[in-house]
Amino acid sequence: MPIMETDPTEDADLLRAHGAGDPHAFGRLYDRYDRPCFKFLRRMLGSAHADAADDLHQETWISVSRNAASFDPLKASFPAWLYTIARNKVWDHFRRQKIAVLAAVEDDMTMRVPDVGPSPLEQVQSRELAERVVAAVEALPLEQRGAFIMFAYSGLSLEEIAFATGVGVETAKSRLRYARAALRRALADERSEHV
Amino acid sequence: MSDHDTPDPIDKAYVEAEAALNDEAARAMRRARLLAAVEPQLLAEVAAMPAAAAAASLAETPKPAVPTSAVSRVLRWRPNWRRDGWLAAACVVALSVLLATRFYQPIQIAKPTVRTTPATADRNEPTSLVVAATPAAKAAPVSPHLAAPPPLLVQPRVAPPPPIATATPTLEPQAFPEPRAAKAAPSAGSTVNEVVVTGNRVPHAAAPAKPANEPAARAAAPSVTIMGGANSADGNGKTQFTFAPSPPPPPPPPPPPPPTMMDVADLASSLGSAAAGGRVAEVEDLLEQGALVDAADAKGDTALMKSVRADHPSVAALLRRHGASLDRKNKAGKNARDLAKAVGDEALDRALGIER
Repeated sequence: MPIMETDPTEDADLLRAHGAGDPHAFGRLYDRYDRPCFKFLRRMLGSAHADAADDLHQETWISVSRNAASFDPLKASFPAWLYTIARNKVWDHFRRQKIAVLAAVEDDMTMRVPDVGPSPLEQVQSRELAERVVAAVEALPLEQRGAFIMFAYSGLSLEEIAFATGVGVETAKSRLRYARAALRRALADERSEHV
Repeated sequence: MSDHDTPDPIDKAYVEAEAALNDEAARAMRRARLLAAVEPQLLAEVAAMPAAAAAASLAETPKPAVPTSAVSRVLRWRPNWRRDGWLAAACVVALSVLLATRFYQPIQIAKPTVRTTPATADRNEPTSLVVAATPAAKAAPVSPHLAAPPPLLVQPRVAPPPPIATATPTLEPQAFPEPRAAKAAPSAGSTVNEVVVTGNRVPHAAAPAKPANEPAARAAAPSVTIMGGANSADGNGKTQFTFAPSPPPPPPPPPPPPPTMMDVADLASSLGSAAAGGRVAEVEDLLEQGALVDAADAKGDTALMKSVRADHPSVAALLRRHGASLDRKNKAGKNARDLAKAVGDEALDRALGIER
């Protein structure tokens, strides 16, 4: 149930209209993607850098506005382009903060975690549980986290994730699998603690 | 078949968790901030965003994920304040403080100074000085708590002294407006409205009629007049002083020139001789001329030792009063105490203050 259900061609039209000087086009485009984009930035930054989410979010959209003319809908969808910019902003931020982004150890061990089935977290109703789920997402390795958020929350396809992250589709798919497995394990531990 | 056709339960849980943590107020703030930066022509729309954000914040039942204080909201609304804005604000504050300290002139309350006119040729001729509060100081608003006496200005009065029996209305307070402090803090007996210093007694006229609506305390404010002569207080609460200017004291005699080394040696020798001879007046005279009381001769004997050895209690007492030492020893290792013991005269012991 991705949050973004938009028409790609209309996204391109709005961006083009914004480039042509339409004062309302950018606002409409922003309203479509601002929430998933901000969530993506916020979760990628994690709790330690949550204060920078606002700034990076603004920088991302300012980049979108300034580079609207360079957007080519034939090469990628607008969400893929948007998340490419957002992801670069995150990496730039970590680089400025001299934070080393370690590559995740993606071995098959994480895939051996059994699927425990629908967890109680499907029925997230309380804010406390929601925060725990989000904390588990933020604990994922960065690339897995980005792939998972783009897929689960933003509704990007694997091809779009691959485009945004600059990897192949299979790599994006693997990251998504690893992320889900890690989340299942973390949330299973969470459930066992509360049972 | 799309990748999202069969959503994973973990994906669904995450989407629901994020939905539970939505903060619409913060989102509205972000939107306003961004659109203000991206599209300046939408500033009018942006101006309405805080109200919309507030409304959204009220409609949002759960607490925001990150508690946003008013300050943090302002900081978000004014992104420039986050970085260099504070530096600019600090510069403005520093500049303000600098200007305030550079150009601010505190109210300086002049100390009341009374200058007397130079002595006239005829000291019997009366001199009159009017010491009154300056108009500027009277016009300055003064807090009742700071009811300090106004600065006084001494104005030499050139008019001839009025006769003693007649009134002098010109010296009354209507010459200058009364200070506001007198209105604000009518403390009887504590505010000096006018001070007149004259060489002769100057009679006073009755106080001018006060308006009916003027505070009674102001009407009762005393007008202190300092006039030469005896201290007296009339019925109007005016205190009069009279003084007779005394002639200047005669100049002090020039100090004697300091004695030279030769003089010192001569004085010491003379002092020893006089002490040995028991010449009290001469000893006293030599001491006044600056002879050193403990000066010793070639044997180390001081004048006190010589007077003791010669048994002259009066001279010994005189030298002791001028600080002669009882414990100073000569070259034979004897001091005045030892010599007095050898003499064995009780009067000498009493003169030296020695108890046997």
